[in-house]
Amino acid sequence: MNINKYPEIKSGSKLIKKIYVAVMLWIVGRAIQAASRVDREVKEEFNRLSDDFMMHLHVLPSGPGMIVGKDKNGKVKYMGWNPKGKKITLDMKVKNIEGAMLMFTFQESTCVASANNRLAVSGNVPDTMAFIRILNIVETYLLPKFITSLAVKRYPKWSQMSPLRKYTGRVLVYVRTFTF
Amino acid sequence: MQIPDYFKFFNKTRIISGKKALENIPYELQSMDAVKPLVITDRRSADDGLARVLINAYGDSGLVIGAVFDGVTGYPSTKTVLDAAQLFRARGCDSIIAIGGENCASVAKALNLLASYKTDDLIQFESLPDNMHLYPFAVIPTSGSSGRETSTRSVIDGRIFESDELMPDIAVIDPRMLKKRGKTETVLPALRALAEAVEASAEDVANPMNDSFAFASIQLICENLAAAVNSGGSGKAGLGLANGIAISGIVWSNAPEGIGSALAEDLAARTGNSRDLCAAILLPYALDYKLKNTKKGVRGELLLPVAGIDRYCAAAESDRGSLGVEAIIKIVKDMGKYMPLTLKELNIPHYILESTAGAVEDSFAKQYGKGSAMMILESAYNGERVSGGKK
Repeated sequence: MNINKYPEIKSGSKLIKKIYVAVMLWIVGRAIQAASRVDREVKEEFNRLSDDFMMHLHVLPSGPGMIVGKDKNGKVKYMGWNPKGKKITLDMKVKNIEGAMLMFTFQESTCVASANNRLAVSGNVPDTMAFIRILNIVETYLLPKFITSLAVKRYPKWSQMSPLRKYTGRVLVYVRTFTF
Repeated sequence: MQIPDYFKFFNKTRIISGKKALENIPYELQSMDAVKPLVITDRRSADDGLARVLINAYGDSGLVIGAVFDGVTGYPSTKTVLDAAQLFRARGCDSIIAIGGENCASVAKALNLLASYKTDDLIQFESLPDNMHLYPFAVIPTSGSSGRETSTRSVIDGRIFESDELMPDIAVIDPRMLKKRGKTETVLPALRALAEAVEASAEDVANPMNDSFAFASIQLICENLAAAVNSGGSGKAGLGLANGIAISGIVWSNAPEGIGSALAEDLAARTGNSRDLCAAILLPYALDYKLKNTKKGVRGELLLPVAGIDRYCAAAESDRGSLGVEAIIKIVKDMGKYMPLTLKELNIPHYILESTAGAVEDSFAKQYGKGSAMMILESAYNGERVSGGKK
């Protein structure tokens, strides 16, 4: 048999998808930091997490990713994408870039993605759930209702998030995300 | 729920099904310390672009595919396995992915034996232990898969190699791999899988674990068959059907062979007709025989996955078995547009029926009574309902 008939095949690259997910992760990471200063519920969720909380959400095998955690003063910060030298307490891995695309193009909500086994998590389950709740609130601030409805399990009712809180929060989160 | 005095159930296959399921393969293989798979497929699947879909799914994984070996033919031979083994070693592969139906899976399983034990002698594996350490093995069923891909069996050159460890570690069912095929190609493997799942859940061989798998398999096949045939085995119905068929392989592996499967297997070997076709034709007659001529008959629970909860609840307990059989007979009859319904249409001479009956009879005489095999074959030949017994 002529072995050369069957060549080795190197896996390609999905650069555009990676760039898209990287940008989304950057925005979400920055927005979480902003929301922790602006929104009462997000603040409370973070207060309940341990002082050394550090979450790494990344796409396997080689990123992109984002790290959000508490600094020495207990303030929530977006800490970039590189986990080197950081003590990660909650490691959320999206198993592949296509799974991340489904999540970040809002074809699948975080809950559905978890149910479809697209995520692998190392860390506490309560911490994970808290982070998912934070993510849901941040998405509500960042995105219009028709998109957020696809990304979260239940869009908050008026009684849960008044329009005043939503729109003021949205402006503040956006300003803080893209400025400082 | 009945529970036997003793039972064993084994399944090592993780089924990953649905949108973008293929993209999980690199992660799953890496979790088994495998980074360089050899892909085994046939020419048709390669021409359909299925290997290309897998290669694209590997994008961004940073891994290398050892090679795509598309030399599997309609008759899996030792030569094909040896060629694949040579390629596996030359490329330094550490896992196997089979794309396609029973033949591709058979070659991949046999290749796994040769590669894992670093030998070229397949004969030594005719008797296999259940605690082998084989390379990680994933199977990707395509349209027209018969369910044996997920089973414990590999058939090479007519020789059977069987072990629990031959089951794939992962079965990935992705809608992109379910290309549109002919209606007959969709019907036959589905009915064979249905036949095997039904026989594996018969009262005398059933256990609670296998029952739950068989229930899922029968329900998925019955619910999706008609729609999947119309869509050529693709789309949502095709995905449901492919799942039912894949599960049937696990069910079949955990039960002794039924009389219908054994007859179909023998008849196919003697006549050259496909196993799928023989099993599809024999299914209603074997069931009908069992209902009318055996002491235990057919389980009433069969009606539930075949006909649904409403019809199951509306039926008297004593009628459920016969109604289940009638429902299956109707399903097969409805598929008559795409397949022959009798052995007569296959022009099988009578002496072959006698030989098949003679070969199978001994194994089932105690359970089904003397002459049972011939009676089923005669009925299937003439297309007449089985005469006899209870109803």
